[in-house]
Amino acid sequence: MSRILPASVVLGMLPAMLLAGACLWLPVDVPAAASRLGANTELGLAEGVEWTQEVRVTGESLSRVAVILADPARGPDRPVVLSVRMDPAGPVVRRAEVRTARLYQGAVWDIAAGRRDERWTEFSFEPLPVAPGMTVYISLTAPGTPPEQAVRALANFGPRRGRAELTQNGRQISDLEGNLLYRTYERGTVGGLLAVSWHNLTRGKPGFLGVGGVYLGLGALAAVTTGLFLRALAGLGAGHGSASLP
Amino acid sequence: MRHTAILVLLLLSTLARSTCYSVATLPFGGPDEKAHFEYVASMGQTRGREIRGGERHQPPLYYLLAQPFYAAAERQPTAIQLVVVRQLSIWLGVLHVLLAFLAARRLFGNEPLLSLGPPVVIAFLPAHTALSAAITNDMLANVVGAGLALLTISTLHGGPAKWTLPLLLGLALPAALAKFTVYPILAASAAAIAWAHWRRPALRPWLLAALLALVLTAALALLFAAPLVAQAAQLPRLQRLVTEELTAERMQGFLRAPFRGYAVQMLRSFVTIYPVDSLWLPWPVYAAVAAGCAWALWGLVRLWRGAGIGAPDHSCVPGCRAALWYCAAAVLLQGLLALAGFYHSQSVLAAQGRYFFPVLVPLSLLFCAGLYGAAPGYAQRTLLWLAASLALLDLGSQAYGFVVTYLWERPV
Repeated sequence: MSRILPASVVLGMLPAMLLAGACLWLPVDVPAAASRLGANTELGLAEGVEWTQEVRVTGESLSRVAVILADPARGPDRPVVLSVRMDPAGPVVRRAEVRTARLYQGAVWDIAAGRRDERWTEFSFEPLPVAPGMTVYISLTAPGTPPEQAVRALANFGPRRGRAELTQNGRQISDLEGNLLYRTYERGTVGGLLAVSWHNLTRGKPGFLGVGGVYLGLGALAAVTTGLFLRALAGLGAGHGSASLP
Repeated sequence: MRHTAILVLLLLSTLARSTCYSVATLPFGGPDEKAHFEYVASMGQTRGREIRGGERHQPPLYYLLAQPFYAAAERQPTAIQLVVVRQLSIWLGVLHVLLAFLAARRLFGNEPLLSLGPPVVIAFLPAHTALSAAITNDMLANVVGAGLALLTISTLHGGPAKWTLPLLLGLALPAALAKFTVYPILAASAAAIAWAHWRRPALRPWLLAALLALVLTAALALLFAAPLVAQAAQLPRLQRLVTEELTAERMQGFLRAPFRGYAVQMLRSFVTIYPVDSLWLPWPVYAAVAAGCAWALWGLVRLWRGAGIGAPDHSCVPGCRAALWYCAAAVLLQGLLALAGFYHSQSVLAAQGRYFFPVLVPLSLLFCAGLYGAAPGYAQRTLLWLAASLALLDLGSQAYGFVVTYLWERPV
């Protein structure tokens, strides 16, 4: 073993490994709940028009909400405001805004989920403590924006399943069940982020010895062969590299 | 022998990494992979009678080669079929690396940076690894391009052999049946090999005989398989380009196009992985790659002016200079093709680094020769740094790409 990995290399790697391990506890926003990604309706956000989405959170906090927004009218720079309430008629408990100048300046369908240029606009705020399964209400509006220059968001309207509700200024606008396209995040750690990604990566994939075993085995094989190659390269005889070609 | 052992490790590493990525890549996550898979599946299901999918205009060779893989997994769920059919691209990727080594060793002998550098560049280029893990006929075009480069470099270096012209004609057929992106290097190779023959009066009759054979083959192919030839040569597309798209107005728009965005997108898609379109690595990565290319270009000029290439005391003479001219011509022709794609679509999205991959062998030979010329006394260290940084870039960007890709649940 010492021939393959000298003790000095192992000792040198230890601090790097400890540092990498410590990074697993760094705080980051971790994906929590998401709506369906398929959209069939454009929503307009303007002065006096507030869309409110009922969201069932899955984590233990709510720290960020991402939606798909575009500014096709390319109007003057104005704010788009996201508010979070615990009750539809209750006070705003978290608020965040982005400027329209930061949004995609074109048709919102160009950046829809699954498109080549898929783009989500993120609203971050101080983590809001919640219980898993609790319902919160996310509202979007664009104060100061005239209706003809409305900012666009994407939503899906389909058969009613009683899962969620999308309202305009507190009123249902359709017999169908509406869902704004959204993603929510909870405050977690880098380790939690990797765990979510790992879970999604291995879900339903072909494999043997347990799906995770396949990935770990292949990853280890790739790392070992690459490491051995680099080591062999480093050990290639000294004295090469003369001033002229061979 | 030492070089061979290192090469075997490099090939094993390429195989392991590509396999890893092929299992982890999203279903249909490769470039236009759904359409390529539909081509393979419809060819298998209908025995070639009806080809479906958005890539059905492509020449058929890659999809024919994929048939045994598809047949092996035909009764499996789609996710497993994809992983099995991707095996073809993986092995083509390994073959690409091997051909790069053979071409580099033929040209430069055993100098480590020059003989191992080009295969290292290709093996660890993240975009190449990602493409090797996807169902796409680009991989066949890359291998045919590498084969043409090896043949041409061997001819320019050691002089034409008896089998050179038959081999060139033999490679022209898979080139025509692979993808049109291989045409520039086919043209450059044919011109270089013809030149090498023309320089020796004794070989001129053979050249004329080969030309005659080529003309006869083309005439017979057109007579008996005109639709296939038209499809392979993308004739309808070329006809549309000439009759509908080469307009003065369009040309003016093209000349006013924002080339900066085009160049940035080209560099990004050349270096980093394809499946995650939203993935941008930190800008210092691209800056470092651009700086490395500029450094190599300077080294190439330095090498050219100095005594390195063309000096009477090293084994590269006399074909080295001619071979490097050939490499530069192939890369420039491929660049013209990429620009034509930009003109065709008038969109920055047409800037795709993979269109350069059929000339990856000439490109990496030039790159490594430039690195050598920039600091000849540090060739060994340069090679190690190059390999380590590219390996880190490959492993890091792929791992980062998969974390980002799978943050949200995706359909399987």
